Amino acid sequence: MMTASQFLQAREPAWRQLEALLDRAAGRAGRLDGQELHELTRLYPAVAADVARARLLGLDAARQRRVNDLALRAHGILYRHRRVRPAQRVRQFFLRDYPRLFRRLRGYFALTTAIFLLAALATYATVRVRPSVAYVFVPHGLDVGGTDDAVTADDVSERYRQMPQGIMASAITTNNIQVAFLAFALGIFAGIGTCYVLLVNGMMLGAFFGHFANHGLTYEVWEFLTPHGALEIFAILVAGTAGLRMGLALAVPGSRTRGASLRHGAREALLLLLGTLPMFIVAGAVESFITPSYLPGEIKIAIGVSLLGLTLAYLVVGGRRGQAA
Amino acid sequence: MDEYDLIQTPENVELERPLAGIGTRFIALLLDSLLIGLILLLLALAMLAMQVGAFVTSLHGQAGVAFEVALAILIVLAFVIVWGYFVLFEAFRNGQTPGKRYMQVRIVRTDGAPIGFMEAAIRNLIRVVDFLPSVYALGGVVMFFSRKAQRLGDLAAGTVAVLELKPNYAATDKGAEQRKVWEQAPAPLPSDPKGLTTQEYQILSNYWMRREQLTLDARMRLLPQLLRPVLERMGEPPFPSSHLESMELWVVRKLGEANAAPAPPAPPAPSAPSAPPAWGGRP
Repeated sequence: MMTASQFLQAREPAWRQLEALLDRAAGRAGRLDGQELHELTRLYPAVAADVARARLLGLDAARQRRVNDLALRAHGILYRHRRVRPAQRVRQFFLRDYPRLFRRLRGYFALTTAIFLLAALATYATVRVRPSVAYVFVPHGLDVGGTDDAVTADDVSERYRQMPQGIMASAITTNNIQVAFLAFALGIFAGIGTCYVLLVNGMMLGAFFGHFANHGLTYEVWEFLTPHGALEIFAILVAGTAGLRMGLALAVPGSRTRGASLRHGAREALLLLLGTLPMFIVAGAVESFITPSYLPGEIKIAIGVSLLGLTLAYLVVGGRRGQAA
Repeated sequence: MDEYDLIQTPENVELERPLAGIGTRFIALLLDSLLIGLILLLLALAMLAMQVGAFVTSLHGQAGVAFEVALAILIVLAFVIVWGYFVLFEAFRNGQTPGKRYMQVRIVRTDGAPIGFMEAAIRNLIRVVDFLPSVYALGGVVMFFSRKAQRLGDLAAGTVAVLELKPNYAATDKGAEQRKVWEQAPAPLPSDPKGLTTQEYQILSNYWMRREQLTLDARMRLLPQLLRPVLERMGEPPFPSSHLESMELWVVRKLGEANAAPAPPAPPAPSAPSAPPAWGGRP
């Protein structure tokens, strides 16, 4: 076996050479020409082995550091993952990967929807039986004039119409996206945080319907909510699906280790979440420009239903070409 | 919580790098928060200025559609800054926000590769949860118990925060000079011929510190090789090769003598583990 000084003497030129190469590359292999790249791939494994030998020889700490850092820098440059052009990546994501991902996670989506609908229906029933419960969820501000009897759908629409639409569109959209982000992030508590978001939003929706139904305004509330709400609630459900995907990956790791399962689940969940952003933007625009408009109710409802229908069609049919059955 | 992160390379060599601790990361975060606050403040001022402008124009009977559009854009901008600051900086500035850059912290994947958009987005969306219930209490506790000082976002994204103190062996003339001295000058002999030279001291104390991590077999093979030149210089007979214990006792005694010596040999600059000249300050 070599002594430490023989080792240092023999290897120093290689280290200097690698150091010079790394300085020239400055973090990106692309800055090197073919010859230099060849040198880099030749030098790196040798220097990585030097790290081990330096340790075995019990070299002093500063020298070990130096060899270690050289190998580390080279490793960082060489073992990068292939980069795809961002524009192409985005295109591929929406045309192919996203619908496939959604279909793969449809079980989670069903679970999310069930939780949400259960909360909504239970609250609806409760509000129908005990009208005052509605005020836990529905702000008093919806009762124009201070008494229940004064509520009409026109009042609500009128309030909407008074607000500046551009500002409302951005405020509503950003707020909804924030709720979606929370539904995703809170999933890390084994999905429990996401369930909380789903339950609260489901209860609010149920209470809203119950409250207006108590005043004989069932059609009006549909007319008011469907144009934007159909897509918006669907998007929230997809965000909730993302949260549950991540949470259950942590809670029920299956054949992976718990950490690996969480990381895998988080990636899928994030992709699922990213796809909701366009939905929220469309829904927010509809909520500020179409919902408060004076279009006939049937047309508004038709718009909302077709937006949801188109989205569902995209998710069910999209990216099937070239996909193994 | 370890202080070092080990990366297993495909060459089966473990590379190590220092992890950023809670304190360093918190300062980096504080700097970033200040920066975000400053940007938001500027946005708020812009909003205020526009409101005044709109008020003035409305006096002339033309309420501003332009004002509404601008305000809508500002709302979107504020949202993008609050949620996107960390994601975008980390994704496109190779794991560093301005605060992290100043504190020489970088977010990398646990396998050592640079992070991409996915990792940046996952760890920074989960940031809100790490913040709970306030001032990153949950994230701090999780970091404390996690082996690689990861908060929840790091665990989900598969990332670690590493310290990136830039070595500048070659960067400054001073560093290069010191290295040359250390490499070429013969180790200074101690006044007592039976004492240890600086280099010998370094080698033996390194052995002693690493002793616990070596197998008995490795120690049996390694120590006689380390001792042979030392014993030869001192003119002492070599130990029988199987007497590991007596060799180690001898090493301890010599190290102890060197430590107690009135004028210990001045160590050359980059030799001590914490030698400051070997490591650069802030760039």
